[in-house]
Amino acid sequence: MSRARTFIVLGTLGLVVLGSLVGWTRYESRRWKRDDLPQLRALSSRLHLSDLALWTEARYTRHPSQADLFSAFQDSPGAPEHFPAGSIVSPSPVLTDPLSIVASGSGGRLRDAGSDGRRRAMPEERSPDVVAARGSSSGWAFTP
Amino acid sequence: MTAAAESPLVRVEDVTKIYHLGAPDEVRAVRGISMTVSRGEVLVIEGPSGSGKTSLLTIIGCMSRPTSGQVLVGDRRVSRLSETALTSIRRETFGFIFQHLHLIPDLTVKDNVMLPLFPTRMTVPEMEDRVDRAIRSMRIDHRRSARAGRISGGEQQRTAIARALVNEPTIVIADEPTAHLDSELSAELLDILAELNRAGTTIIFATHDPRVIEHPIVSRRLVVRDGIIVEKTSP
Amino acid sequence: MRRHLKILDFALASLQRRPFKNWAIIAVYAFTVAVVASVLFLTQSIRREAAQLFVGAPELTVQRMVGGRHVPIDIGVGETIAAFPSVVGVEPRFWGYTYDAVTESTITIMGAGPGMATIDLVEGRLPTRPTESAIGAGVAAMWGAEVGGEVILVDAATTGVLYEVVGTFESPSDILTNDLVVMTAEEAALFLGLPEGKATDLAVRVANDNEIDTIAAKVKRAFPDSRPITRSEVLRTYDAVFHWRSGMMLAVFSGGLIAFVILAWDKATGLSAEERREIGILKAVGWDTGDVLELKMWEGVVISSTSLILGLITAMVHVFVLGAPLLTPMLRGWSVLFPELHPTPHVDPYLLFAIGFLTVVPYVAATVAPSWKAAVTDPDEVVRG
Ligand SMILES: Nc1ncnc2c1ncn2[C@@H]1O[C@H](COP(=O)(O)OP(=O)(O)OP(=O)(O)O)[C@@H](O)[C@H]1O
Ligand SMILES: [Mg+2]
Repeated sequence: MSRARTFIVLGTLGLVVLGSLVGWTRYESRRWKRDDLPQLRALSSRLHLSDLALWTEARYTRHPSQADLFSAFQDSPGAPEHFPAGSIVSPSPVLTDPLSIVASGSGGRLRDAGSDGRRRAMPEERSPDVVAARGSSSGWAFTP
Repeated sequence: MTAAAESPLVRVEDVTKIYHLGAPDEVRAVRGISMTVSRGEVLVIEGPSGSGKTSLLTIIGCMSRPTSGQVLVGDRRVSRLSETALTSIRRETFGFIFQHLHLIPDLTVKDNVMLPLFPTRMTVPEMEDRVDRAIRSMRIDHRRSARAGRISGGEQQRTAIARALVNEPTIVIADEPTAHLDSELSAELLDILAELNRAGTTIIFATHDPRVIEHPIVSRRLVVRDGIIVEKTSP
Repeated sequence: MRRHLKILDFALASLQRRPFKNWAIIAVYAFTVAVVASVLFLTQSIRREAAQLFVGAPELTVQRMVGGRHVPIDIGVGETIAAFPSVVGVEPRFWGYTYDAVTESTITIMGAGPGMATIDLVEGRLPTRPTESAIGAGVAAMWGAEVGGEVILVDAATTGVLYEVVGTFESPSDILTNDLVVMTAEEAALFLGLPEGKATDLAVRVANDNEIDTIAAKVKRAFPDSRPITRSEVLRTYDAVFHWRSGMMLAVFSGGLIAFVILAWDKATGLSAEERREIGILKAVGWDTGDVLELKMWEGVVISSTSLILGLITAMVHVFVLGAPLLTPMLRGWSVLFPELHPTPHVDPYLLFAIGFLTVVPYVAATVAPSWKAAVTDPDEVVRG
């Protein structure tokens, strides 16, 4: 009988702990709704954010609600595919190797952000040549 | 035998027990036995191995139902009773000392003795009290918290007896209780049972051990052979 | 009542005989419950968070589709849409991705349109000049950058660009902003290489929620190559997404689950000769069938409810207090920038009930059922050694 009593006492104790955890979650959830949620909504509204920043490997995981309807296989190199093909075919090294990315561009030059004057002063960056240069290094057939 | 007016505790009427009825390996263990058990007597059922002693004891003790025939405990017909009612009669009337003891080896002596009391309405202090008395009368106090599998054969035997006595039965049924005991322990066991009998408990032995058969407390002998009674003696 | 308690007492005595075995079962069982409950708690709370959060998202997003893929849309389209009745405003969104080969992470670039620069949950402010940026916690950690520091990103023309960090997003917003680099809208367009006059898509504010679908239909009619995404579709997406993820996690653990089922099955059905003998002894000393089954039921209840309670407590602490550290590796998949999870505690009582029911009932059944046959046989079977 003492064993039964011990069990019942411990069981009740467990339930009380569980119950207070549930109570705590309710409290926290209400607190979040009251304190954090309005701010989060304001932020999402200010920046027009429409998706959770949970998975960054592909568009359909980073922006599930915005992704193309048809193409599951998207946006490598971040995402080696989950689907069977992805375990066999990996993204081209051209896409992932830092050296080839820099080499394919404007020679690793730095520019200052934004300053429109500077930008216009370097028209070649946005000219078709640049596109062509990048294009040819990734093996595209046509260049203007 | 006491006054004829007193009705027998158990009456067995033309009982048979057939195992695997209708199958090719059918065994007719009891083949038409009638007998009674009277209050206060010490009855010995004697017979060679395989003669049907244990089968007859289980029928008397309401542990199995006969294939045919009637068993009456007091004035209640066993065949008419539900399982629950039968179980409670068994619990209240009979204490069994099994041929192979049937203790649960990894329970303590105390828990083993308490087994028959768990499914009763008895309060816990009452239970403890009963168990204490039974354990003390068997002089296994010092082993009460030991596991039943770890005590000596004689202590196990006494634990089994304590368990049979804990519900204060009117009839104690002992199936070959001395089969595994040396003569010293047998003598001790018979002394214990003799004392119980003096206190009014009815005892039924099944045995072919002359030490039991020739013991002075025995008041009646039935000899069973091939499932029928071949000889009755009352000294 | 007293009888039931006494039988429970005996059940405990009976379980105590094999403490190692029974605690091992409880441990495995509680672990299984904890894993399943963790997955459910986590996905449920993220799902709920998303549902609550995106009430602030644009009512309508309008994309342009070409060849089944999302392409930049003419900003001019926004003017037409803004003229529709009930439309409060349209704003082009400039967003996209850049892959940082050094950290091997994909970063989301987001243009901040006109509006206040200081806002809650941003330490510092949002960028107002093209050389400025505000970054999410994940990016900040990756670059070791803070307010006043700098980040270098490679733009669409593969030129490295330097940005001053003027703001970082605070922790409660991680789930929205972890991988963001926010720039001014113009700079984002430039950085992402969007052609003049084009935006990634258009965010449309609609005054009346009931009108959203009508407006979406109108947009579709006016611009057949557009794809309007309503807010309710966003919410629906989040409902669906987690089924897939949690399904995968559960699949990983189903191995463990199956092992446990086998263990339970073996334990419960393989009523050993010893256990059968024990039931016979109980019956022989005066227990009836009901008592024996009650004993077995208590044994099942003790094991399964102990495991259930321990498992649920573990899962709650794991997910809500510790931030699900054991599930994160599985959830993060290939993501390099994965937000630290601090899911808002939320437990649906119905879910608790469902887990409890699915844990206790099958186990008790699996314990009681196999004893049935032994419990109904006459005790005389046991009498012969
Ligand atoms: N459950 C059973 N199934 C089949 N046969 C049985 C069963 N129980 C007993 N028997 C058979 O019935 C006969 C009588 O057995 P029982 O055990 O009653 O004899 P016994 O006199 O007690 O023998 P022993 O002195 O060896 O204990 C034996 O042939 C035995 O094999
Ligand atoms: Mg026998």
